Amino acid sequence: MAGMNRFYSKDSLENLMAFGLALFCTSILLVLLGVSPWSTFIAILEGSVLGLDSLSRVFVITSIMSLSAFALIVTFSCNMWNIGVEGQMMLGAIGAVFVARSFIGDTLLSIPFMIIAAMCFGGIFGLICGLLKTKGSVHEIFAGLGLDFVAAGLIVYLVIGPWKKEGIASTSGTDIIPEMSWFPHLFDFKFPIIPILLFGSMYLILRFIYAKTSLGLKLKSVGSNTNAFSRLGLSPDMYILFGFLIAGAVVGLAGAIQVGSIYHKLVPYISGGYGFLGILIALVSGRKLSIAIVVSAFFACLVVGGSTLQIKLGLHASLPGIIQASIVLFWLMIKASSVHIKLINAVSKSYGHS
Amino acid sequence: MKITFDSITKRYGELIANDAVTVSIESGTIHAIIGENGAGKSTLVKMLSGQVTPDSGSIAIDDKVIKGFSTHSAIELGIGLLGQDPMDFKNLTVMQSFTVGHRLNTSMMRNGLLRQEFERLNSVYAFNIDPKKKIYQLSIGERQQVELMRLLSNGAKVIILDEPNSGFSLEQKSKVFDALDGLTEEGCTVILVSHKLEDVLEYASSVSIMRKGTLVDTLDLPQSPGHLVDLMFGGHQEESVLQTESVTDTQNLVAKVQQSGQTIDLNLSKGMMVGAIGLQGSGVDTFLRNMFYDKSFLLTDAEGPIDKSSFGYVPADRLERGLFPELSILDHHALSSTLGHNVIDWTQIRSMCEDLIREYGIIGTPETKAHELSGGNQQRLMLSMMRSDINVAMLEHPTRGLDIQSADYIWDKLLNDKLSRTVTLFSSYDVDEIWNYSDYVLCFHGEDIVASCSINSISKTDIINNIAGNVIGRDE
Repeated sequence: MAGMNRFYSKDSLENLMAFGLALFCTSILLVLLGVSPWSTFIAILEGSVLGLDSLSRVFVITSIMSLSAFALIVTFSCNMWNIGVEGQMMLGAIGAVFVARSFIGDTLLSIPFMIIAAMCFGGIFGLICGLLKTKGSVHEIFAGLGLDFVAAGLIVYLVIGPWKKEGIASTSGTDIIPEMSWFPHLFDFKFPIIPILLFGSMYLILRFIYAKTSLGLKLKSVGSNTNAFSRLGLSPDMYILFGFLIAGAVVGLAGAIQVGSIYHKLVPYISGGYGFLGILIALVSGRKLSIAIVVSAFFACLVVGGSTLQIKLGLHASLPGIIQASIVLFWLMIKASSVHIKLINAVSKSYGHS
Repeated sequence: MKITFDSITKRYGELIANDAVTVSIESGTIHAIIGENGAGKSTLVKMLSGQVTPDSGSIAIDDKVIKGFSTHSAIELGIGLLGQDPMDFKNLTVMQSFTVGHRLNTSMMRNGLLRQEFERLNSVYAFNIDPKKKIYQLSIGERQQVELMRLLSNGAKVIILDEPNSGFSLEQKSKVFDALDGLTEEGCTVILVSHKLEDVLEYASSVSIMRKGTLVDTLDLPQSPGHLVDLMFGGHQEESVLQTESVTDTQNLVAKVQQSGQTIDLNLSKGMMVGAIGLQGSGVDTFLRNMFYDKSFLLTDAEGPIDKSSFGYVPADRLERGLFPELSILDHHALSSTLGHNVIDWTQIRSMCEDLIREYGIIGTPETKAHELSGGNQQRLMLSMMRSDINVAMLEHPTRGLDIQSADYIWDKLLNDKLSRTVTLFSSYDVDEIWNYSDYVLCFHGEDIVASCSINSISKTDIINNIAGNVIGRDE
């Protein structure tokens, strides 16, 4: 047990060092762009965690990003690239809006059914991707990418077609859904209870699946070697489909959050790129669920705090995106070159000598 | 080239694969490294080929210490490794696989030249490999031959053979070693990692003996085999006596096998140990695979075809079809024992796993990943995963890559269990193995079964003649 603890802390020390280095490299980039890194980071921090409004948004976006990352971690465990994650989130949003626009949209039943519908819609869309992969021999990256376009097209069709606003058809979205279908905030703190419950329970469920169940182990094994998997009399296709189904359902929830907590209507490209960001988060977090939440929270702060940069410091609107992308890139470069480990070793050595 | 390993240490977690190993290998010799399963032989040579980085220690070539070994620098230095699991590309054709990484494969592909080179080597060593076939259609032995041709053709000056005999047939082996012998005269160095003493004694001029990660001794050959075995196992070796209870011919089991478009019935008896033998590429390589996967290959008893879900299959290529490289031993046991369960009781699985590790003598901990295990230990892991409730056990080369002691242990176990099973099928290239353990033998030549009979009604010479194609009168 002691050995395990030591290993754990070494791991987190390495990650911390890598993160510090990534921030440092990003700061250099900011200096080169003529921006003060210090005031930028302080502004991001102030704009994200100070203030109930912004903190609430940080929580909501953390939930969306975490759910996307979870979905990716599930499919990565089967050794599949679920590029269709964006489409699955869009379908989740369609499912949620479908319920909210129906006769139960104005009742207390609406929110639970929005959640269920989002999981079903997202899950089925994930399953289609899996079927194209297993039965149609289409590589999952192409299947997923294609389905993303299908989902995006479907939303545009709904927004300007069957679900168009009264009288006008505009791509600005459908009518606002009934307030009973908005995800409520807890008390006056604007605490987004439903998104947090959703990603929290998904975290616990997935953790349980991977730590305790045979299903989790099978998902991991099918990703490690499909030949050996079928030798055990198990069907690789079935478990790959399971992986896509679970991933689609999980990220479908993120779509429901987009509808219930943020937009309150269906808009084109409602996934907002968070699905693709989920891929980065899953990779940066080393495919670990708990770390994915931490990384998501950090990115959510960048998104929320970054949006205030323009107002506070008069910086260009693209800067938050640049910061986000460069941190990921530097992180990956540092990890790949293990500069951070060398640095830790050098530091510990020099301390040992003095 | 002279090669010196200087106090090389390598750990995998808690496992010490190499513990301060120092060996010096003279230029122009065939040097053997022997040791039992998991003694650290493969790890040591993988450092020379750049696949594994030592934790400490250094490697010198011609007395010059080489820093930062990588597979690339190893190739530049002319070091070629022929591993137990060939490093090739299974979706490519033989010719393409030969071409990738070939020195003649410059920016402009010189296909004609490469082709000629391939044909030349193919005929020099009489390997008889069809360059148009896909790699996955070849047996492991044939794949190793392609790999060896590529290494030789690339001008390798040091050739490492890591348990090559598991794939070569006798005839090919002597051809390959004759070629290697010729190369040593030109200053090439050959490192032969093996546990087959007869090969070592026949071909090598010096030998290093390893045990549990340490170097026991380096000796010039010849030596008495008994002395080497003592060094390998650290003390005297008990002569294991295997008890074979021969199964009488009651013919209550029929194997239906597809062959050249026809169904052939093989009349077997329950509880039999059926050995399949043939040279590489003779159909013996695919026989068990077909029995397991192909729906038209059946085993039937009085009640009809036996359900294939009660078959246990141990393939020859461990990391490709047998094991999950990224999963731990614990995960493997959890997977094989909880197929029907939903929730895993990890405490129970862990204690079961620890028992199996002990029982099968796997060198590793429950957390050791399959790809970190040595070849022999991977084989033990696969066997330890075989469920006790299987009716039909099918094993391809069950003792491939195992030392004598482990092989005896495995045979003990298989013979012990054979009567409680409907039938045990195994394949081998080794006539002695077939002769010692089978109740019934299937001889393969070409793509076909050329002889099938009870072991009591055939002589060893007849088996050899059958698989070599020198058949006068066929049994059955």
